[in-house]
Amino acid sequence: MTGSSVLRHAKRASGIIWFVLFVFSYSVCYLHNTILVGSPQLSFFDPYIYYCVDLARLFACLCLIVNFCSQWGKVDSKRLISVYLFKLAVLTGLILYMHFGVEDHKTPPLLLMLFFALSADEQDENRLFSTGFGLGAAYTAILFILAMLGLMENNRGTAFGFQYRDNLGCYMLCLSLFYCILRDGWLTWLGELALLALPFVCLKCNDSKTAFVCGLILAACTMYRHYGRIGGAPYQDRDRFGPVIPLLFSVIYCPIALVKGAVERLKLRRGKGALRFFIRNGYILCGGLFILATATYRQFSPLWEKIPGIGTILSRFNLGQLGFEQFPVRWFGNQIPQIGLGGNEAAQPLYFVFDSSYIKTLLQYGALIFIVVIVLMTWTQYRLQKHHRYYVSFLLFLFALDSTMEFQLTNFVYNLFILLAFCKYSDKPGVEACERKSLLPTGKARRIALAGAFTALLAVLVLWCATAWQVSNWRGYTPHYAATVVVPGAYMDEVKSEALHRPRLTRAMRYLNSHKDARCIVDNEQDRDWLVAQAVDADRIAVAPATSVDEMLLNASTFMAENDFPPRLTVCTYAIQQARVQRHARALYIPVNSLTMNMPFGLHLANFTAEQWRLLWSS
Amino acid sequence: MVKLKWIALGLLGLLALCLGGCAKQRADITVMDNFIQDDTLGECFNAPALRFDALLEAWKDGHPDIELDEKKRAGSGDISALAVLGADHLPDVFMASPTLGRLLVEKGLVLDLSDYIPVQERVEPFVYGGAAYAFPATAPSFSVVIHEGDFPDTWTALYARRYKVAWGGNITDLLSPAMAANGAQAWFDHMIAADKECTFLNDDIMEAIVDATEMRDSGLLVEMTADEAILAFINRKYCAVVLNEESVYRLIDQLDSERRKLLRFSVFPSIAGEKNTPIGVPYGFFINARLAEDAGKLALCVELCRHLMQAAGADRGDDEALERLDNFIRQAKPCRNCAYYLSSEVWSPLKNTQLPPIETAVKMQNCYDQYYLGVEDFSEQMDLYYEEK
Repeated sequence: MTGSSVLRHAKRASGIIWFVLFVFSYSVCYLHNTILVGSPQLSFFDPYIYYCVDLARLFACLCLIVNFCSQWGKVDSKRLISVYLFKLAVLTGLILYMHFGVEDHKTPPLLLMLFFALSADEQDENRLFSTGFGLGAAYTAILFILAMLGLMENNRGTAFGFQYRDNLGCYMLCLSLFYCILRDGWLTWLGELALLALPFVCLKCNDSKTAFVCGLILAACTMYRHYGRIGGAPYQDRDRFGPVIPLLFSVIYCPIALVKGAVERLKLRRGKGALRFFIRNGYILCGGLFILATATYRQFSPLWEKIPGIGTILSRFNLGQLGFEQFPVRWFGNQIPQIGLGGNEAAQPLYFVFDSSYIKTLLQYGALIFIVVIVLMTWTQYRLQKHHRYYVSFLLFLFALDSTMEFQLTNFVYNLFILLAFCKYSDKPGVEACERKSLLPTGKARRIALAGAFTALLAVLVLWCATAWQVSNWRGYTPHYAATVVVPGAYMDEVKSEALHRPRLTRAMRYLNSHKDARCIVDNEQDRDWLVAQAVDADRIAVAPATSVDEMLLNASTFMAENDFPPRLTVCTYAIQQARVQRHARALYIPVNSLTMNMPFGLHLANFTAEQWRLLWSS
Repeated sequence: MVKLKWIALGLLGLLALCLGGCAKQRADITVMDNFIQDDTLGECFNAPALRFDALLEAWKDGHPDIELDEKKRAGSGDISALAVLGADHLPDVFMASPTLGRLLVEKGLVLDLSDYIPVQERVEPFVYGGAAYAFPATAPSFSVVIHEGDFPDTWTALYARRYKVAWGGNITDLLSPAMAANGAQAWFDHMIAADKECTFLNDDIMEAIVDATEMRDSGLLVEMTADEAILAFINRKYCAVVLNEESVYRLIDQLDSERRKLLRFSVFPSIAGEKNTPIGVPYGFFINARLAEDAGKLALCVELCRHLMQAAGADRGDDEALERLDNFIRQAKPCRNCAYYLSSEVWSPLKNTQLPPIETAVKMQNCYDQYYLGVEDFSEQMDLYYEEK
């Protein structure tokens, strides 16, 4: 076997191992980023991330040697040597960092990101991003389903398995960036609609304002590029796309056409060079400006306080400034105890977290890592622009912008962009491909599957919105809502407290007075007389004798049906009784009570659906 | 290449700036206050902050050999953030709320000042477990309804007229009067006095919490930020506004003399009928626990605190509206503003608008238990509630 064939085999083997290790590490890092970290069920999985780091470190060295040998003689040797010297310096720095630097549970994803970036020479861009996008989308979908079914913690209702809901917003932005890189921005009509909808999902569901802004810019610029390339709104051929899509896209592209017109009229294209320079150095500018703003920020200063809607930025400035005051910038970082909110944003009165990637990297990981990351990202930008990949360079700039507010610059799961520093760039589909792809021949089975998927999605959305509306509007004790209020006198015998007699009836009286459609069920004549004496109409009160609270509650639904009372139930007792009512109510499928229960969203949805069917059937 | 050089130089410069900024030596005494100062407003709002500055300058003049490093106008969040890092990172003298103070005491980050504050001078919210921990730094806060003479004085009347009020406060402003009206204040006082001993389930407090949640959910109170509420009142979008102390002065400062003459102050009526004004507690000057090792510095800090205490009595100016406000506060039937006794996890369930009143009450009760009894895991109590045992 000749030397060159050994090298070829080594290159091939290292490429395969690199890719397998990449997939495994990405999966482990993804899990590490979710609510599953540290959970008893998955604690056995935690050490794997450290195995990944060790393997990646060893393998990065090996890959560097193999890649260097295989490229020797094929490219300019001076350039090759300088690039590999740079890589070697970075690698040495990282190995030094592993020994002298601070370590927390967020360090392994950072190190993995850098090791993989340095050794990705022989990897194909499309394969990397399709893998990243595929794994990320699949895992997120699985987490979403598990969270919806209540099998996994769903912090704040919309984190869907992530620790914080804005992390999910950030990740969705990153996934859309991965996809745009994969398609080089030439999306199908469905892709463009999804890209447009995504920022609003990030804002409404995940409360991620930065992802919203970056997502909007992404959608606008992608569409602007599309418009510019074909000289008008796309998907306008009525013979091919039918009547709805052309109309929809003409409306959506209206603002784009206006902007395009303004750019042409004002001859703004002349500033293209400056814009490219700005984008190219986006990481230095964003990092530098954010650090500068943090250093010069003064709390309560009118300059900042008068700008509306920037409270989140100001809190980041403030914490960053405290960080700079308390910790020096060191080469290998500082051990900074950081306490977040644990996902629920209510449990922690003390809070100290650097959310901005730039501040976090500089203070926590140190100047060495800060310089390495910024240099690598800027290098990537230069390389992309050198290959005329201006659109992708712009996407990386958006990531730089998002990183000012979020932590993801140093996280392997989010920052796959750094792999573009050395990997092989792939051919991309042109603008024609996206129109062609939009018109793939649709067979009968495909049409049925698509229609089914759309219907299911629509049904879920309608149910979700309806449930959300119901949760927020059908609570007991609101003026818009009328229910049958049950006042069990037997409760006082059970808890042996006569002191509750009056407040319980007072509450019922107030409720009946403020809800004109509300009705009441009591279990003895005295209580009814008391209520009548308080100016409650007698025909709004029914007496249902019962010897226990349970009996009264079980009879309540029959009573409500017989007397044509509102079919929703609320009870004038206190917490323990309320809990018991809710359990009964759950069995009876009474919506207001099922909705007031602290149950997982999936169960909620199932309950709601069952209730809708029951009402539909009975009507 | 030239551009690259400039970028590299810029980056190095930036790093040098950061390194230079962080290499600062610690001063003899470090002070951090959190009076809010807004240069766009006048004396009425800024008086305590300006008085504090003047007092600090006077003290520095009297102690020329002491280097005083002051971080003025820091937010209260700064102290809680620095507390995460430990006593070495906290300033020597700083302002904090009693709630945060309690937490700092639990973590051993502030000094017991019982030897320096005579019993008659101790202010109740800063006394934890019988020991005094802070000097009062501000006047007690309050929460009032501001209107121009047309405000129904009962909940029923508000409801009947569908009278909408701009609400720039938080739920605890409603909870306090509801607690007073339902007799829960006595329970609450007992709970605090007994120091971490409370009844597990109390119907009075349940009733009060349900009342407060019901008031919030009634639609009569239109929730917004304090700034939005102030603006809405100035632009006459709402005839009445509920504000806390700081915002009240901010509003008065922004009104012209004619509108100030019209201003009236009222209590927000609770469902249960009584009219109680939530009166809060002052912020206090705490001293870092690190100073226990340095008696000389500690004595200086105590002296400094005593001196700075005078800022609380700052004169906000001579005005008819201010005089009326002072009279109102003086004659008010006070109830404790429980916000100051409860850390965020206790009252945050009330902020969650998706919870119905009863469930809010259950969660709230659990948080009380967690806070006052130090119960970390309250699943057992939850089981009791849901009778799953």
